Amino acid sequence: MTELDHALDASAPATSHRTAERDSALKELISSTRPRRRAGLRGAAIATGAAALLGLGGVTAAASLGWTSWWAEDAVNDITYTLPSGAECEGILGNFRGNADEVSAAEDFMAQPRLLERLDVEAEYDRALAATYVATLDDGAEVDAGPGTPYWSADRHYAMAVGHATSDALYEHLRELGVLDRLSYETEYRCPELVPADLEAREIRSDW
Amino acid sequence: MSDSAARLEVALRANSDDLLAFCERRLARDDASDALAEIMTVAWRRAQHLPAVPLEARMWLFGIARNVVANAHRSQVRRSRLADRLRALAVSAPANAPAADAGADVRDAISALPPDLAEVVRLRHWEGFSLAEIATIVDAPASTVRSRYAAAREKLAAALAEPREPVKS
Repeated sequence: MTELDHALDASAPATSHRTAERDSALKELISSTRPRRRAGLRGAAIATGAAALLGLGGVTAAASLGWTSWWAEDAVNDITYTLPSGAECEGILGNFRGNADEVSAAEDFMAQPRLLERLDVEAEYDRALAATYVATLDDGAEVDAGPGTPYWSADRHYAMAVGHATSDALYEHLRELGVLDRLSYETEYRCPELVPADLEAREIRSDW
Repeated sequence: MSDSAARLEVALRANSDDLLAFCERRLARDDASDALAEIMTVAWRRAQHLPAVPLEARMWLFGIARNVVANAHRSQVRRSRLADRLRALAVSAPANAPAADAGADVRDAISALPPDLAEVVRLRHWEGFSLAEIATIVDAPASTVRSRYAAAREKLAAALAEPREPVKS
């Protein structure tokens, strides 16, 4: 070994000591970074009624027992969150498409075990509350459809806020990495009935 | 637990110390824990691609680590609550020798190399990989890695042989 080899070997920056406590923290990290998959996620998705949503931020009600999206078995993550009513929504994220770099970066971002902690859902929901909503009635009259009216569903808009916050955080991350090009992905959600069918069918315009 | 997940858990347990050291040598101490959390997250996500042979699995993990650290240099390291405990331990723990300023001139000389050359030197002398292993980690032909290493040594030998300014007392 030459003098140069010795100098190069000795130039390694200092690292932390190995201790029993650190070993334990590393084991804990291995476990906690593992994606949390629902037990049934890889089971056969045979029920009908759950809709795969193309695009971003969409939410649908579904009463099925399993995921129906063809990509469900390869979903990169599943998330569960509580709606303003106290009901729970579950969703899966997958079928990422685009160039290889952005798909890889997007999948890594969305696969975070605690993805929801990275999102600013409350700020997005505040924007939803502050927006203007107009419903068109059967007689053509236009009425306010915002919070406090019969046409408003807090659960529905909160669930949509989760979708918006998710896509906003993802795209911001990809822009920071300089890899955002033409990414698209799909989500499938299973939520309680968020809004009565007659209101679901009614046209509501919004500037949110 | 699937076969790939079980193998990855074994591989992570076997290599997590070295992966943390890899991060600590390239990032601020408190960022290293978050980078390690990111490495593990990516590894879990790609577990189905984990090579079956343990040595190859180690190279695969360091390939991920290299990309995570490169991203960390381009943008701020994301704070992960998953790394809270490890970060607290790493920041408060005393460092292994050498002292922080030991070898600083050599590190500066390495940093002054073109990035591809510098990375080969760091992987060889800081992480202890063979040139063949480095070729796997950086996904380059072994002959390319050998030439990079030879060029790097030549440049380093010249740079470190130059007279340095005397230390002022």
